[in-house]
Amino acid sequence: MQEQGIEVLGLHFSTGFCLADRHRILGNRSNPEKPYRNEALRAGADLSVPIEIIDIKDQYLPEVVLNPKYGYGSGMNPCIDCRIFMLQKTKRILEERDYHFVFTGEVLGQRPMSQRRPPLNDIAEESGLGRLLLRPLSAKLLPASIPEERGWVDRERLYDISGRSRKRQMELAAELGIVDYPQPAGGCCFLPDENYARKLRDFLAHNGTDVSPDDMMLLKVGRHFRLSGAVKVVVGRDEGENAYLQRFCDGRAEVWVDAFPSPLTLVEGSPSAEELETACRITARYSDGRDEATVPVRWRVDGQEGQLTVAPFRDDSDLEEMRI
Amino acid sequence: MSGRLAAPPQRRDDPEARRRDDPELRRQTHGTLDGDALAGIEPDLVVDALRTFCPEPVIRTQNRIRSLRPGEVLLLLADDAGVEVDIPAWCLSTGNEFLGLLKGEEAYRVFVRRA
Repeated sequence: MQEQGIEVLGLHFSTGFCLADRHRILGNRSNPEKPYRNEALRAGADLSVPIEIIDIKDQYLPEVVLNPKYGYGSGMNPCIDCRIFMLQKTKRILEERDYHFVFTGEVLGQRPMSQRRPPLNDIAEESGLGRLLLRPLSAKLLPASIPEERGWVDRERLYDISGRSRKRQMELAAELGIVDYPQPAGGCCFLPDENYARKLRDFLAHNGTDVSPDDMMLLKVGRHFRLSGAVKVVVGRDEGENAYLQRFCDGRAEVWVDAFPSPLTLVEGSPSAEELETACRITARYSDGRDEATVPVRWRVDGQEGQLTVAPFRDDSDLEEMRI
Repeated sequence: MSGRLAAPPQRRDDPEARRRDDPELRRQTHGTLDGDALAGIEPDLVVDALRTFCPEPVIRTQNRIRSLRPGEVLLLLADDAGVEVDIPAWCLSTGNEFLGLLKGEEAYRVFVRRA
């Protein structure tokens, strides 16, 4: 588009479900001095395209994820509704700022749910963009859009890419000298992931749809165990996750082991004495004291601190019953 | 069968090489002021993004910098290491000037001058 003399504004939608954001939060374990990048910002810097981040976290869950008109993909991913929602927002920006048209990187047949021909049509229509929406990579396989018809964009210089292979996009990137980009087809969203979808369904079943951004953030990390309808345990899996969980201690019970390297465990809800003991046994199980007969486990609830000496869970089948 | 060689497509610079070799780009990426100069800045606006994760610090910067006039300076307080790469990249893409950052024990102080 830039080579056709088009002034481009890049829009990056922050849904709160971005897989890359999780990697970034937990840090680059192979090189802690080099934090992971936000690829949209990096691409904008490399291509001299201004990037605007559109924060849709608050609306995305209730308006898109919970009740999608077009249903879910393999997990809780409402891909078609997601694209419609983002492009509706884009249309508003287009109108407010007098841009002429919108283009996306969608490729006909690339994704099984949202990039088949019927959904591509539905997305264009329901977003309100209609023929103002151009898909340059597959344009020659699709009816001409308004930007092509009006000569704003030369259709002959667009492409006829289709199918699941990324080979032609990678060749095109090489032709344009674009060498620095994330793994193609790497996936960028938590929602298709079955493990995440299971945790989200569990959360919604027990907490309803009154969900805070912190609730969503907590679903991204750790081992999750449900002790009762109101009480859930989240156990950090490594140093990065423990540091992440540390930020969510307010309003939650904390459990940890001082005597051995151990996870930080957060307990959501108001645990009974029995549930607190179960949380301590789970924490001991994932600490380096797991083979000891008993382990002293520290806890902090509502400003009060204490210690319980418990037997770590020995039999993982007991844990499996609680695992979300 | 005959054929004719087409002119090779014009390549852009490799961005990695550009970041490495172009002194002006390197200056913009690493910050245009040194630590002493940064420490002496009286910001026109302070934006608190402590205890948030990227991209939230960038979103707050992007949204709040609009209230400044060109040339005025925004100071972002953040404790997510992502600001080290995200704010320079955002500045490069939007034309705002990344003045630099001061890395403290508890937080980063990131300085951006509005374009």
